[in-house]
Amino acid sequence: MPIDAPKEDNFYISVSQLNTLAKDLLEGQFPPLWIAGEISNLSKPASGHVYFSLKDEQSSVRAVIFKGHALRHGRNLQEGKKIILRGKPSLYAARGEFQVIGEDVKLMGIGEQELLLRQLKEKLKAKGYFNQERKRAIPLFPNRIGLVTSATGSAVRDMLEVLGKRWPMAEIWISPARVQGDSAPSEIANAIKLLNRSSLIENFKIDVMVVGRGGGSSEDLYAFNSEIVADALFESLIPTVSAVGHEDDFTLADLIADLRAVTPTEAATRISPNQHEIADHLEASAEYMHQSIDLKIQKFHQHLKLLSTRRCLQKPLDYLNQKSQRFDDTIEKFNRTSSTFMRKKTEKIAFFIEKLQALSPLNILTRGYSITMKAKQFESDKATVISSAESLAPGDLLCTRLHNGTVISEVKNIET
Amino acid sequence: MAIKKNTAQKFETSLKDLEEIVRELENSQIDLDDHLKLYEKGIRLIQSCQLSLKEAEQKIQLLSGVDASGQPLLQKFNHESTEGKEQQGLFSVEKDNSPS
Repeated sequence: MPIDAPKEDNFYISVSQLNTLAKDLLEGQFPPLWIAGEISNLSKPASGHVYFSLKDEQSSVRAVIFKGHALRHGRNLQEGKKIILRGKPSLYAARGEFQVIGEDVKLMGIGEQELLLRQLKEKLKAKGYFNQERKRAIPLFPNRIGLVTSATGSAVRDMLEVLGKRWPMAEIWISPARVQGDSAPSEIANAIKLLNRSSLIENFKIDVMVVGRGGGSSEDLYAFNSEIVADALFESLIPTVSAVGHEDDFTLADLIADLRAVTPTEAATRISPNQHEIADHLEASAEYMHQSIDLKIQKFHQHLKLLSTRRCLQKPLDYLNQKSQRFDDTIEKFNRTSSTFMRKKTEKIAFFIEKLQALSPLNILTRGYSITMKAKQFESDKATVISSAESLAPGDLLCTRLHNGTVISEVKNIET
Repeated sequence: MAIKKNTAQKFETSLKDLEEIVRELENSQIDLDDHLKLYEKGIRLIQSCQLSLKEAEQKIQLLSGVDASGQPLLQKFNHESTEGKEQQGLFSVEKDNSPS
């Protein structure tokens, strides 16, 4: 970067200007570098930034890691540690001090702790702690939520904030545990067990628990990589969600939990339904139902309208009239055909009667003939026609039928 | 003893029933009488869900252990929402041993 000479009417520059120019120059010249050295004069003030000197046998340089990056790499930042620092050379303008602004830290070689962690991870993996098949579903509508974290940290505050907004229907049980310091592993494990024990009691069922810490509470992930916490999470009957607040590394807790969230806020969001979305959904459902019933009624209305234009409804007597007319026709036709038929039959009958009369024996009687029968003595006797004198004896009664009457007579004598 | 459903479970069941009703209403073959019955049932479910949401009040408890009989020891945990106001005391603990 070229540096302009001071202008003529302003032949000097201020210290601030000098330092700013030098800072800009430095920062413009160097790409980010990996710098190896040992940490000394380490200082971690409340601001969260970490200051130290990085030195080797001959030289030393001031270094700073600002809060955001410091949180992630804090566990490697200890007095006397040999590290490789990724950073950019710069200048602290306020003091004109040359320094490195660090972003990333790697330990030189694998530290003892990391070796142990690796061994533990392999052991737990062999025991099936990380199996995907054993991951349980997180209930959609939790009734009681357990929180394992510090009761005073930002994690609990963040989660209560989210849960209060999203899902106030759930009851929240805070099972407090320190998340940093030597007692953290056993406190966290005990808090997980305590929730599990309470959950077994009737009406105290806990649907899901979050185990975590706020990003700012500690840089040490040790507790969440401890075997005792791993065991407690693995044995938990309540579905677990980890929220260790560490995006880059997966802790053992992250690998074992049924669900991994990066931050407590994310964890709280993922275990709770959003009551406002549900309220919207309810409104939309009501709206849909109103509409569907309107539509239905409208449809019926249209159908009815269509039906009412039909001829049979418009002129309902038409049909009847048509049928009745046809009926009349049929009757008339019937009458017509049947009278002809009847006349023919009547004529035929008259002819037969005439013929019958001509042949009737009664007709013969009118000409002076008569029929002689043996008269009935008893009711049961048959009146038999006499055709031979031999069938009679004197004293028999005869019944003689003439054309206009009957004569009863007695046989006096028989001559043959 | 029959398992009594808690509020959240009832809510979940109501929501599922409601979805089922909406699905049935999407079927246009349904006759008007059944349609009206479903409509009435659906509106009732919606109103009960809305009431549950409206009345929901978060209960926050601090679990400090279990007593001799295995009952959880609970204290009321006061959380001041930071919404719209400067937070002062983050929380305070009061003695309250009565669980839900």
